[in-house]
Amino acid sequence: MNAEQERVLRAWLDARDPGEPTPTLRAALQQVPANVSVPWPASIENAMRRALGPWAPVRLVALVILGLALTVALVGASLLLRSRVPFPPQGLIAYTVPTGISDVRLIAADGSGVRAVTDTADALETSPRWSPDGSTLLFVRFGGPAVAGGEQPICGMVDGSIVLYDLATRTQRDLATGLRVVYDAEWTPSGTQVGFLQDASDCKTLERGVIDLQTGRVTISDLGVTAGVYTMPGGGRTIARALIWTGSSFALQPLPDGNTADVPSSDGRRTAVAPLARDLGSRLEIVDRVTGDRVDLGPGSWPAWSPDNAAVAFVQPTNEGEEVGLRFHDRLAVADLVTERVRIIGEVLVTSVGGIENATPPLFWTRDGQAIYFLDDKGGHVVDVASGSSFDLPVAMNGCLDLQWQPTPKAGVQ
Amino acid sequence: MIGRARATALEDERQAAFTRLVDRDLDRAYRLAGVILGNGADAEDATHDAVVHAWRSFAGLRDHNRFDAWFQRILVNTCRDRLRKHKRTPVTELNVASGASVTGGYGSVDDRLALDRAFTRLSPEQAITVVLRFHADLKVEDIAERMGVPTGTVKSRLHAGLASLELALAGVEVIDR
Repeated sequence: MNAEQERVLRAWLDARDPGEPTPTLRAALQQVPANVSVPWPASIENAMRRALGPWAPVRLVALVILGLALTVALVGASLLLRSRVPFPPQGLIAYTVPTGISDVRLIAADGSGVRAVTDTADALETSPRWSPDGSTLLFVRFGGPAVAGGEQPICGMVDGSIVLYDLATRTQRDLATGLRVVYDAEWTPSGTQVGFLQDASDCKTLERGVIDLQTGRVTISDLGVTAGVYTMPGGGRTIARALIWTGSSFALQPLPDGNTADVPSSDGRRTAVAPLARDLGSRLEIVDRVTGDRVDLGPGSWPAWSPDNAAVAFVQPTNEGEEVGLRFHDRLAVADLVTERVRIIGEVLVTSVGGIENATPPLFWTRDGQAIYFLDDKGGHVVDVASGSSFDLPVAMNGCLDLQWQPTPKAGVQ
Repeated sequence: MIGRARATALEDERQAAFTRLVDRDLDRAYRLAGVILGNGADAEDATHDAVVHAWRSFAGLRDHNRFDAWFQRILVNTCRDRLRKHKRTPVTELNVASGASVTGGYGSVDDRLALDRAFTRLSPEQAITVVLRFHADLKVEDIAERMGVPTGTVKSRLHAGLASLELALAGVEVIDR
């Protein structure tokens, strides 16, 4: 860099200087010591001095030795357990990047490569879904002037389509075009059909569409459903993700009301009823849709059914906040629905500030049911259900949405 | 055994010392965060987070004369985390009505826009290294201490960061890797 370029760079950096901090910030920061508790070492140090008294040095040494022994035992047990589990899972993760107009990306689970499936400036791509064999990715594309201008998809103002992306050849082809706002799209387990939900022509009710992949035929049926459809502040609408394959057809499970989510198992036999937002007082219940029997799993939100429907993962709220309530250290829990036992296998950091106050991150199971993955306030994590051991997802995924793990590891992304 | 009154007095003393040190360094810290993050709002958030973090770790700082370097390291880490999490295109405010004033001594509007774009594409570590070197005027050794990395790493980040910015100033569009 020559002297003139360095001068320009320095001047440019100086121009970013925001000036002096506001009196409000200064005043707020002066209150930090009074408002923020210090868990360690100061508060514990003082407490230990009070508790240990004049024999503090001797007792301290004894405590340290005990602590070391305990640590060695725990680390040993953890390593032993870890060596038995083929973990972490391999393969690719599809996700959407929410910056600007949404695009679909692929990333190797170990972070070794990223591929932009879409990189369009005037269209919004979302809802990536893997085919059962992991060779094809389906996603929804919205176009039109309003979307290009940054608006969210609104019925009557978008041109929706469902697109297939072939992983091996990196080619795209439209599966269905001329659609309205598509809320969800799913493959059948055989991979021969794709079902989707979209706004009907009246922009009030919902339609179900089924696409036959061999013939390309699209069959639309009006569901006449308005329950569980909510208008967003920006004018768009949202629904619960509730398109399920019952074994013979795609069924819609509408939200019962505005406060709880009704998440059906994939076999349609049971439903997990949970609060939509993080709430210490609300209960997560499993309801048998045939007998009406209910199992109370205690406080919990955002349930996710295991692939075999034998377990439900959910976020168990706690009141353990951090740094003046910036985050809550909630727990990642798995309920075994055979034994009705709940196990805590990890931690989920839930943000409590900003526009998504108390929002709980969605949880996802890998197709083999071995692990649960999610993005929280500190990035992405994968937790082994059996052992509770975990590893972090690539940093590139932080803040992204709609994670979908490839069912069967195939070609890389380099 | 120390009495409750003595413990309370110690705690009050510690709080007062921390407030004094933060107040002294606040101006510099906030402005540095602003240059790294590109706007005042994010700088306020980052400075707040850094102060909270610093307070929680303050008992571990034995030499208060080292507070400024220690706090700057926390601030830099906080800014890095924010850059990683909220990597996005900055809003470039161009005062079109005032015409010539938009060039304001730091090159042409094209240079400014090119630098905006190129800086956004730097990795958080590269961006912070460039700011610490060319805005805070720190030596490589001091940058290494602030970022907790070897001097060789600082040099390579500086080299890579400057190469990208140099290309931008020469009118070459840098494509995302």
